[in-house]
Amino acid sequence: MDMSHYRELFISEAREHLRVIAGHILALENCPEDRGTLDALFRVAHSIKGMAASMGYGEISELAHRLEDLMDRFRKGPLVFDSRAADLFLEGADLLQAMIDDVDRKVTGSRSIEDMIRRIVAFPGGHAPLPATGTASPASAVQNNAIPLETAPPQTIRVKTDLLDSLINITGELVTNKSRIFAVSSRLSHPGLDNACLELSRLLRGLQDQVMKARLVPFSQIGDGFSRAVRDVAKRTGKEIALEVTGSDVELDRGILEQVTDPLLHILRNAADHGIELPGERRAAGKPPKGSINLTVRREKDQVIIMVEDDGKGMDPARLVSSAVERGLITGKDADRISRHDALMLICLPGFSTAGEVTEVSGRGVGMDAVQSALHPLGGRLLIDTEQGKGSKFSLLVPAGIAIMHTLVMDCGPMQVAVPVAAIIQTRQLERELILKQGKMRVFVLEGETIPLLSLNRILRIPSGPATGGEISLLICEIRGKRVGLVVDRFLSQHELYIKPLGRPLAKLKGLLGTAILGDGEIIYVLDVPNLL
Amino acid sequence: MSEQKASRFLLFTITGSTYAIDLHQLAEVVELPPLSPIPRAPAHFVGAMNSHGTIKPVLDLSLMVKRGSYSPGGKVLVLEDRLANLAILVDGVLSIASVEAMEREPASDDELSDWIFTDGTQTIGLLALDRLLQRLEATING
Repeated sequence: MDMSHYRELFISEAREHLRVIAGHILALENCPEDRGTLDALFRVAHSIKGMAASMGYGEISELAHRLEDLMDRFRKGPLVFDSRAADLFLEGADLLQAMIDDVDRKVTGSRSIEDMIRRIVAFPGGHAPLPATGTASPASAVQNNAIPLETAPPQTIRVKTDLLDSLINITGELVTNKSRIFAVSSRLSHPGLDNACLELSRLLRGLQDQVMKARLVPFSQIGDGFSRAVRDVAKRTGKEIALEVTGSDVELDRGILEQVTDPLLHILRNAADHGIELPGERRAAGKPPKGSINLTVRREKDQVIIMVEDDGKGMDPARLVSSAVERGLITGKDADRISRHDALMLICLPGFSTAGEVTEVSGRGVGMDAVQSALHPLGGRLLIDTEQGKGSKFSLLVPAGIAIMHTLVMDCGPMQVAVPVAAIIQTRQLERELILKQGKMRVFVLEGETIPLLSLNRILRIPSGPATGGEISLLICEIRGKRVGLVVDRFLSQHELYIKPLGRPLAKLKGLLGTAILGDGEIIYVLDVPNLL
Repeated sequence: MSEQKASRFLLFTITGSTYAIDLHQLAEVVELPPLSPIPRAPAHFVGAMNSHGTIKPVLDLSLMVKRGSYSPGGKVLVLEDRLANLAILVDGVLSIASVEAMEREPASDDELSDWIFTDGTQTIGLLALDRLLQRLEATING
């Protein structure tokens, strides 16, 4: 029998179990008496044991079995789940993870579980007889302790992620094709065809919604790894930090979730490493010795907001500015005029953090600049706020779904470009008399704020059309934290566009999110407004 | 890939020189379709074409190596998706050939090839696609 399908299932299920294990362990460390978590951890170890045994992965089954036994000793008391127990369990989970990775890579016999098992059996110390070798048989795995069964979950099936990707692709192509049919239908104006088009449109919207939904996964899929990251930093730096995660049931697109994992890890490590103070410092500042980091996820319309808030020492904008000047990232003249918001965003400049500041923990070659550049292709944004002595707050704003974006299409010289509606603050027609000159720049005043006017054609290096009429069309957007007015030739209409990345080599072209095809077959470029300049 | 005996190559010309590209790296060869300009791209990206619903940037290889521009009636080599999202505009397509019978030697002083094939009468540069892509990526934002 071909076992490869079962092997894949085993790997994906086992990984899912392991993902939640770390969360349970850390929860238990904080609250050792929590019977529910003890049971949950026991169940996870038990499930892995059973699955591995039925697949004939003896060593994985054996290790899971030993962890399950140890868990049972905690359940029966008087053993208390302390931080040493947490360390041992985390190590055991890591080893299981590595062994499952080996199964995935079809590597066998590369790890030894003996030492680990010896320590599990000997826990909490003292000497225990060497465990009898041999693996737990599938039968014993099933018969073992009576465990509380979980209630039946709603009916689900597992689907390969490429299949989901291909579904969204096809749906996107359908949306493009629908526009083509609409273009033809409006030329023919046949009542029967018009009705069919409307119906097609309605059905497509439904399909699109469902496909998008199928791609949604809860934030908790990645959230469980975060507690571990914060705990590791705390251990290494001698700090006490509690991480609280709220809203981990908020759902977002699988692809987007993957893209925000690393940036979030970086921000969390930063908060633990540079934000939270040592217990002594905190006491001296009149704070509780244990620092706290709150990771909050919430959904607002089409956006998901992921917020990391710490109660550490915060950042001093003036100091950020002076070190940016020292490193030659900005001039002294810029420094005098810089707003508070821009000063905080300085930490996102490449080269802002120096080797002196990069510690063993967070110095992994990624900085806040990497966080910024990971967010932009998603149409996401980073907001930073801080109060000295009180803490800092980093917010990631990302779209909940991808690929099909609501955009505004405009003429731009010989081509048409589109801007995601989410990136537009407002559009307006501005009378030419209201354009003012400020040095070399043209500006206008909006709600008391002087806003520079920039020609989109010039930014895109396209010849400008002749200036006509008494008004200009303006797109008001935020670029690097500042509001600017982009002058465009003409607004056309709003479109739902299925956006495809430019791929290699043009994906690196600054200022473009991707391309799309309009109903008439016309190629359209979707602008990445925050990165235009 | 090009090490395999069975490899077959498409021979094409740009500005009078003959080059070879492994057939495995090609999706198709088409006539030059209407192009739409690409905002902010360097000048050797002469535009983008709609290739079966996918938008492919078109690279003028002659322009990139500063040997003038392509000649009218040029052909477009559309690369395999897994390698790149790119089409290359060349002056003309000659033939499909196996080159294992030819001598292979390291190319000196050719920015497009690492290897050349010779058979005494002609030399053919083997297009170093990966190097080309890396160069395009490195120079993309001016």
